[in-house]
Amino acid sequence: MSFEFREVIKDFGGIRALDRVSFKTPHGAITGLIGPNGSGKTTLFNVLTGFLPMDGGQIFYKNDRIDGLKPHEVVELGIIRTFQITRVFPKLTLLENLLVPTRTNLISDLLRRPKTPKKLEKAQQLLEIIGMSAYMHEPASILSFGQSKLLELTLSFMIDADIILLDEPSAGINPSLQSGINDWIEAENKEGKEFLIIEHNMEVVMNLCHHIIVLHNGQKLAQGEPAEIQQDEEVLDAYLGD
Amino acid sequence: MPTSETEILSLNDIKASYTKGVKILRSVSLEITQKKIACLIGPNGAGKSTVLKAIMGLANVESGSVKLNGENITGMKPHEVMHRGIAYVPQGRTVFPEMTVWENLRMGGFIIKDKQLVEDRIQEIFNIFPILYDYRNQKAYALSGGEQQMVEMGRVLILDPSFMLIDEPSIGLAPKVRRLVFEKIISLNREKRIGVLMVEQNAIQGLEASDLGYVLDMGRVRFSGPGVDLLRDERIHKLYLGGGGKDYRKARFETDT
Repeated sequence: MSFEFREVIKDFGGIRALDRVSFKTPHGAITGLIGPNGSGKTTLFNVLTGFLPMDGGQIFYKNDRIDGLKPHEVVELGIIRTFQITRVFPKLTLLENLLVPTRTNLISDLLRRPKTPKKLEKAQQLLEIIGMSAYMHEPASILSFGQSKLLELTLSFMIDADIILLDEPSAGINPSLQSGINDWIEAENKEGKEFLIIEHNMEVVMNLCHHIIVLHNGQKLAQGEPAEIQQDEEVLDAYLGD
Repeated sequence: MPTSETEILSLNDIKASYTKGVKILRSVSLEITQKKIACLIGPNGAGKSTVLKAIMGLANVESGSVKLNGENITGMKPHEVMHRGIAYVPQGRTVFPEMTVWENLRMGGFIIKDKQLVEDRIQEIFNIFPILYDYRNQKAYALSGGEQQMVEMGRVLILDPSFMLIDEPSIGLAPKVRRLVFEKIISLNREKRIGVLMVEQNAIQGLEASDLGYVLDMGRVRFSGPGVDLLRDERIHKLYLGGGGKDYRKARFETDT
């Protein structure tokens, strides 16, 4: 078990966005979080990562309570995230963008062997995967909407995190490129990284995820393996359609 | 500007950029009519959004021409292009979040002086998207992704366009809602005679909804033809629709010769 949500509640004014949501995510897995637009998926990410306070319930990570922590404290636990609307530095080059999060000033890091060359290599390798190595020295402002998303996704792989939360990684991404990204996610997962992924692309969800949680109207509608979820009548009705 | 004739929008060997030295479109020619839905697909950074922006006067067209019924509209300002009956729905959620649905729709018609005409057209839009009538007094931010997409489409329909350019209408939408949005686009085309040029990364569904498909890669049109034909083409499937696995990049450059 990695994350545990216990009766988590989040209200926006009179609207209950998360309504006593409880679940556990399996350790070491790629977990998918699906559900209709407005079902509370991004809100769940926001409370999990300390971007929004909750109105009730508890969140545990490896048996420690993490609700109430600030976003940077959550990152220090090894949990990082991407956003639906990308946030890249437009005036930095693609390569510089990728190296920003790897810079730290902590004494403990200074005592360790500097690992910048390795990071540089990794950044170049990642830019190759997303087909953007030709522009690595160009400012990020030249990128299209989809390319900025790819850069941000790549950025999340640059950090030595234990868990990566991805908010709709396939939205706006060419399907052929997506399969290369899926390979990368699987490889990172085999190395021990866990993933929690919000996704509407069922091909990505069903091929990539080991475990799926379905939200609907702020409540957990179902949870299980991809094959079970695909057969679930309630999920079909609320989300997948005919 | 509805006429009895079928209107034609064409791009002829367009080269375009935003900043000097970074060429986005190297050579793009395409033609759409009011009777058709055309879909632009291709890798990220291929120039798909720039095609729409080149038509709207939002990208710097260096050479080539954009023509509407033979009239050269290249380099016109966005509002002049809109006045000629070309509407544009940009990428990402672009509703005015703090305005109600009704206010958002009225914003779409702010260049129309005849206020009664705006009100009449809003009623028509409520007929097309009944859910927007139900939510007319709700602030737009409170709507779901699919509903916001309908507000964005409705907002440009106020101008009674002959053409609608729409950038990734299905992005971020749940599977069930995604189908609904494509159905709405088809019915706008069939019933309201609005020619549609859309960009889609949900490429298979985008092509299925379209009469014509254009595959853009590195600023050029690589393949074009009826949507169904492109879907059946093995090369396209492999290179652009996710059928090629991780070797797709290699394969893409091989066809480049």
